Amino acid sequence: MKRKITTRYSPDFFAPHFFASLSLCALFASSIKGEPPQSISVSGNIQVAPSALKLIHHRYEHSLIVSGKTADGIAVDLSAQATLTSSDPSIATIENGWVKPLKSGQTQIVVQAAGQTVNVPVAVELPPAERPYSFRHEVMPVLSKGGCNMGACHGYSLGKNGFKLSLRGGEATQDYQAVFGDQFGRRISLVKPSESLLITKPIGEVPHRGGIRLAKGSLSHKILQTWIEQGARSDFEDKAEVEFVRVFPERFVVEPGMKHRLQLIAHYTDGTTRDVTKLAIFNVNTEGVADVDEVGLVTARDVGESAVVARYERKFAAARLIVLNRKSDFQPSPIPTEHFIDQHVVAKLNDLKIKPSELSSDEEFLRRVSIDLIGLQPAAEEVRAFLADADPAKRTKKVDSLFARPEFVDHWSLKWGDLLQNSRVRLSEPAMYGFREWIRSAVAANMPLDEMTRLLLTSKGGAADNPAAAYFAVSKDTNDTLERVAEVFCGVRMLCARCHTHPLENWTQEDYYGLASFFNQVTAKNDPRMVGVPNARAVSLQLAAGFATNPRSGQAQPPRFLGGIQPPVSIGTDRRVPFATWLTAPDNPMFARSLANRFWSYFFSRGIIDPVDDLRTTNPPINPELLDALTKDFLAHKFDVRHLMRTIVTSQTYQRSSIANDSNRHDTQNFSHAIPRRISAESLLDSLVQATGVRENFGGAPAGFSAAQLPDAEITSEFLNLFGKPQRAEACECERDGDSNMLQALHLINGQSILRRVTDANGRVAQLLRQNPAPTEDQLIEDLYLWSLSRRPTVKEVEVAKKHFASYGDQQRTDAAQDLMWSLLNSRDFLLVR
Amino acid sequence: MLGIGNEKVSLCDGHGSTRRSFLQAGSAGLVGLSLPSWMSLEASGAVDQAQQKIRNCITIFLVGSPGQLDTWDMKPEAPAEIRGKFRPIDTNVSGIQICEHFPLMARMMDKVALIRSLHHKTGATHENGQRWMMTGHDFNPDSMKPYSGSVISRVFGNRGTLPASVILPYKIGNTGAGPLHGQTAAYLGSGHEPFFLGSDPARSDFKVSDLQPPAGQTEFRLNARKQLLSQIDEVQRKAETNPEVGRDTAYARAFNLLTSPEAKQAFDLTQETPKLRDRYGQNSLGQSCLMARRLIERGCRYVTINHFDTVFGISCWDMHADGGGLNNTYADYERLLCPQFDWAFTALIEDLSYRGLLNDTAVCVLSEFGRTPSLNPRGGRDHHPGVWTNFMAGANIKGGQVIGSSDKQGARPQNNPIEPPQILASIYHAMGIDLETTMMPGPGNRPIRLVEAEPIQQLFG
Repeated sequence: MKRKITTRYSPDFFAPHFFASLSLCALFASSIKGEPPQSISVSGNIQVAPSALKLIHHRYEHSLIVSGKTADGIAVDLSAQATLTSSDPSIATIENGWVKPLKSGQTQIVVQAAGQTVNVPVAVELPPAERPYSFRHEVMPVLSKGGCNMGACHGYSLGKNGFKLSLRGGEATQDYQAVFGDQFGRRISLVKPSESLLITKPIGEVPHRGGIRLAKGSLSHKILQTWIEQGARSDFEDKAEVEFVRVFPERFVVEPGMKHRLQLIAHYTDGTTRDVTKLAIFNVNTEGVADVDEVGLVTARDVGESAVVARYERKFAAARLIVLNRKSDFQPSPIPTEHFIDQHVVAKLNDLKIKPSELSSDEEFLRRVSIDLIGLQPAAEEVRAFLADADPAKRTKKVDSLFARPEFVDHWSLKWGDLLQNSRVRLSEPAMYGFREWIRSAVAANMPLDEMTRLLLTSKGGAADNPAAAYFAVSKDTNDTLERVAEVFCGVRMLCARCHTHPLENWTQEDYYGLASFFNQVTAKNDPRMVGVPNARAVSLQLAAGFATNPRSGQAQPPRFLGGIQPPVSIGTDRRVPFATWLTAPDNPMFARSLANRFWSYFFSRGIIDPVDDLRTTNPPINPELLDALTKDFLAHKFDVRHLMRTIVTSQTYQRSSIANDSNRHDTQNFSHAIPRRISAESLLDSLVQATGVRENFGGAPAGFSAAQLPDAEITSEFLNLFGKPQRAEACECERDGDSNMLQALHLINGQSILRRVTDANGRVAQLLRQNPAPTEDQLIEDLYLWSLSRRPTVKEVEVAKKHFASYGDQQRTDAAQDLMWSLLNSRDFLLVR
Repeated sequence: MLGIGNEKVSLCDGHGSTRRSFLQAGSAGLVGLSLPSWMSLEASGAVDQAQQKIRNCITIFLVGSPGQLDTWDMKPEAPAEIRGKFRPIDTNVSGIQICEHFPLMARMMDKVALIRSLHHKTGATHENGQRWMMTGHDFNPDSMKPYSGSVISRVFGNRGTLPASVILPYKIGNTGAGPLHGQTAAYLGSGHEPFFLGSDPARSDFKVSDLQPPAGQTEFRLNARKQLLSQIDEVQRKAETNPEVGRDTAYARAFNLLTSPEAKQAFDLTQETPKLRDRYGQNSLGQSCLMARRLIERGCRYVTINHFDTVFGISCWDMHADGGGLNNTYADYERLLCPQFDWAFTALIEDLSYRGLLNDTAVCVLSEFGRTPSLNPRGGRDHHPGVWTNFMAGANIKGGQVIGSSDKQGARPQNNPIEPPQILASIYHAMGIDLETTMMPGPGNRPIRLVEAEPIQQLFG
């Protein structure tokens, strides 16, 4: 295939006039719709970041971001219009808006903007001679910035065209070998540096399948060239590592069309800092909200919200960006005080100039809360009773009564069965049924989640000893165990770090194999007491087992909690115990938080962090205050999950209508209104069975089992498969497929699931028509609506239904009733929870 | 908003990767768009799937697997117990010979690229070979991999009314060693399961079951229900401005499929002339090939024909000659299988070519493995994944060539050994997919390559 070679960076990247063009953009911030530039007036003090500078390296220049805010909180980047003057230009000068150190000493930068003046003290402490170019701190960041080491290029596990770099620069020694050691004399030519392939390929002087990656004459080009000229030396003796990076501003609000610079500061283990904005890689999480260029200049596009993620080496930082139109007529909603969820949600909505929707009707609420709490829509008589109840506290009362329903246990045991992957694919049948019962007991007893987790993670034995040990018997190996534990109980996906540093988070193979060392004493061997039973295994511990080996270093990796602490462990003890204790401690940063977030997601269209099992710096919460408060409340109530559910469903936020208003129509992230979700496979089928009064027979399960009661995905039906019942092969929530697709629709329209049920001789339609005295047409229509959609028909709907009956004539009343129910069960109000 | 990762899956070939550059690229397909961004575009409806310019693929999968020495990799110089009963004939490409029972194919060898060094390193069960060829992987029940047609469906979606991926006539059933045949969507989700025809187009009572009104249901009632549903939906829609697109599109497409003349026609072979139907062969394979062409013409992207759905108790390629349920012999090859294949395959190539579709359609003939070089005591051949021959034609594939070779006995690859994942990579490449830039969401939504292999460059000249 013919490949188009294009330049990734504009040719003037890093060229002297770059910031000149930048300043024009920022000065005349205008809407993308081409409206005339608005002059935005700053109110209050301007801010300069950082407020003081210390420069310790000849080549490490530093940017200053000058910004202010309008009276209503819009961030204005004043950097371009600010005047920067060094009071001693022999110590430090200003070049293209950057502070450049010249010799050791003190000076200050006088910043003037918006009629204000701010002084930034600058301390320059340079070494006697300029340091040689560094492989680790200068060359490798260029390879990252140029994309050379990404997965699609030389970072691919097999390399590209014989040149293999570590993925995203995870391995300095390996990369140095690759650049310098392999095919000596071609990639690096010390004799003729400018003929080194390391330079000629990326700048396009010789054909490069990956195209032109670096502009000729750019900073990146200069770094590579000078490093080679200086002898292409390694600098592994320099132990300084980036500890973390910090982005400024961390949070800002702008209008469409406005531009704002970001500044990324690397903090090193030796305590020094460095402005790495020019060598960082920036990305906007939500396409369309804003763009960000190669040097961190954000241009707001459309109203919305996004994280802007900055990466330098393998460290990440995220800035949270809100883009909105200022509405002078917006009246903030009063912040509710009765319920902390509403307080934080409404506060955020006020920031966004969004009004929440009204509360849902009683019928909407009842169906939503029933499906969400017990996985079943309410039956007709239940709807009638709820509507007739005049008690103002009836919604709370209903929630409490739902907790007492047996279907509550079915529904949440199914959920836990999915998460813990209970399945006879890897377990014996007795172990699978035993584990199911264990989960059901825990749910029925409302076992606190910390206790449940500790019991699971320290379990051992066979099906007869401790059913919970099935949790370990499910795993294929230690790696599988630690990945499942991290995903379900920390909300963290560790798979990437098995083979290389995680591309979107700071996790390394040390973290991965550090977790493995907590679990590699576990073995699941054939259970001698259950000879001949397929998959019968007993979990035991080999206490003498050594630590897991990190394949990269070949060294044993001591146990290490996520986040870097390596706890002391005694020889010959169960290492899962300290892990479980650490995990479920109230101050654990992930456990309570990820579970609170996960349970939140079961009641809304998304988590506060979403996806719920992918918590990382680069995927920040949409409302951090809300998640913090929810976590705190969950902890204060000692991991009581029913309390958590009650807290969520009694909030106004949960009870909002799905009908949007003008201000929140486009919001899908901030819980300003309910967003319809497709009902899950099991709930849909169980609701269909209840509506029609015709049950489903599952081969392999006792007659009368509901879909929610099925022990695993090996007992299933065409309906459940079609609607995305998970196989329990993964610990990821994403395994459950909540999409709507054509084959489902085809099945509902033309398959037997609905048709057979509405035409059944003892089904709902037949039962209703058989009543004595026969129901009137109005009664029949109302009953069919109540059974099918758990609500009464509207006036308009009664009208439509009556016309439908009229078109069939009296002789075909049964047909007409069947077809009405068929249509209702195919309508969006049945398939969706709204 | 779907989140797969926030950093762009950047591109190795120097393309830009912004939404704008993609939209400007227009017909350049998905090349140049990173995974997270295309997923969000797709979710927001910004990607017009109908505009994606990719080529199609028809795969004829020979369940049971013909012996390489009896078909497309003959060794006339080998001893009798190896070379078997059949003789080679010349083709219209000098230097390439194939079995005498493919006389029609011999006349269009210039269109076909034979790959004679295929092999795989797992056990010799039919299912292993099916998994390799359908997915590019071997796998276990707890690590299912998606069928290539599901991959195409996931990455490129539908084009028109018909499903993106169809398998006909039947699912592969029992082939001896378990249920994993590699024809499922696995982690790509139920929306991307292939559409199984479930009926033999060669039979006079041929019907696509999901598409026919169920027994006892009249057109009147189907139409009445559809009308009533749309009225009910309309009322419900008005109550709310927030669109829930997934369900609506799914229903619209399902009703289209049920009612559109296009879909009905696609499955209606009576619209073809009897002469053409005869040319394809009045048998399951022939009529399935004809159906495949009709489906591709009407918007399917990926069609697999399972030539047989089992190996037991029927006349098929699985030539064990065991005297029992697996008693296929040379006689079956000579009398039935080779002629059926020869007619159907060449008719398909001719027909596609005549209609100008061949340049847009890769045609692949694949099997699970080869057969043992030495005849067994009963004159049959058993399973042999050590080497075999499959072939490709159409699209941008350079015909009239042989890629790789087997040793003198037809037992092992001699030159350029090829493994099944390379076939998958070549299929995707032939369809116009750039494997460097096109990712799919893997388990846990991690962006992964469609297949961990590179296309066979020699195929594309």
